[in-house]
Amino acid sequence: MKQEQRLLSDAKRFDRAALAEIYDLYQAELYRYAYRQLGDRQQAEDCVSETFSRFLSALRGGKGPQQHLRAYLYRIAHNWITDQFRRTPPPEVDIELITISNPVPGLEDSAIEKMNAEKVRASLSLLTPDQRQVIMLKYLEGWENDEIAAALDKLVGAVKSLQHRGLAAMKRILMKDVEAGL
Amino acid sequence: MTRAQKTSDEVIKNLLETLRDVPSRLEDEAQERRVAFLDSLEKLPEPVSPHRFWRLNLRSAFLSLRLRTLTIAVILVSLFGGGTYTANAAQTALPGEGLYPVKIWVEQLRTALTFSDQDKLRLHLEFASERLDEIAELESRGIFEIPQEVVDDFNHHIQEANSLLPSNAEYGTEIKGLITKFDELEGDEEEPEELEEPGDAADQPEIDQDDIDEEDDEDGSFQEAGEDKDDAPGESSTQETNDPDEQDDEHRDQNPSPGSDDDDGGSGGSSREPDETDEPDNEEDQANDD
Repeated sequence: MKQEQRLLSDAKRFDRAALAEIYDLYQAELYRYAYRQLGDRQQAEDCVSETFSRFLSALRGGKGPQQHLRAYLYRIAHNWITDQFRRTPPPEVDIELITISNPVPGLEDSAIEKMNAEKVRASLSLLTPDQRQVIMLKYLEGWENDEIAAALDKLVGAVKSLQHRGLAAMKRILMKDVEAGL
Repeated sequence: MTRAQKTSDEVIKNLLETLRDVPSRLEDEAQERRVAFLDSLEKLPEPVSPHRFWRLNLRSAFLSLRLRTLTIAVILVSLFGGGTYTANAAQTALPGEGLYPVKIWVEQLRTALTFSDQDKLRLHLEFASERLDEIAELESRGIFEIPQEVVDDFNHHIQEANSLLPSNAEYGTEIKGLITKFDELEGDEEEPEELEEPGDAADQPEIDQDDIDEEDDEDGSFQEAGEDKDDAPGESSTQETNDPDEQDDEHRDQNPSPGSDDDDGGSGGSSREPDETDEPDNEEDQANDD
């Protein structure tokens, strides 16, 4: 955290080395975060580029975070991804997972996993933006609730509520297969 | 939480793991993007010395006191004493719970302290969405009768949003989506039938395509994917200005944006960077009980 704060302070002074370090520090994880939701390399790269572009724009305008730089960058990325879903809704995917009770003959396990990943990704895109962000940060990025609260600019209680609602919503979307006990 | 709920939570978490593996990036592409970023640094002003930087920023930091969040925090503390604790608990309150009126009151306060039409519209959408979340949460607890106060409040926010729509047409799709979701939830007022046990695949009846189509969106958590693909609120937000007041901020579902330097912009700006006011130490968060 001290490193993050130092980098942020230097970045606000337009220190080139600090800005380059910030990029190198966070670009890979932001790419993974974006790819997991978008499922597309190009879009994930666009998300990373746009995130840092907007960060620079904020600094130029005398704005940007006072602290929690990482959370701030993730918020930008989240907003961009949400915009993408609105501009170009993900292709419709049959949400029903491929399971023992709903097999697709002839498919290898790796192909099944890939197809189910697309279905899970599609179900995530159907959550509210906040629910999706909480679910992603909690279960795929491994963030603690207080870090997520910083990213969403909410209280920890609200984060827990969103977590619960997000999981409940995914259960409803994928319910038949969840009930079957995958 | 029941054991069944815990089990199904674990199943969902396991399903999420299918997204964990990410293919390696194309090195050339990643390197190209990095170079482009470093090149863009040249457009920044010259670096400022630490001493001068702090002198320049001290004054603006003093002036940007986040007056709205302070106001809300002071009111909460004076009324309830343990403002932070109360705000935290109220944020997750459901209709019928003791702190629910506090939650609604804070929403009203936030609306009253928001000045631009666009920000008011976003707040109304946020609160309408929150009513839907409450209904869904009640359903998950087996309460299928929607409290009238929730219905009335949802309709109120939709009406208010509609009244602000002419100057913010890009929100039309979002409003329609909320109405659709509400209608679907209203239709769930009867307790759902028990799910049949899955049988062998060979025993399953042939599924008519019409049945599948009818099943779409039967649960209220489905978001409108965007019936009007032309409606691209995010597009209008990709503006050259970084002024949060001028940028489309439809994702800002936490904090209003009054359009001043002490704008608690909130983190929801879909096509803008969240500004300094979007931070967890923002005192307005204490009253952000959504």
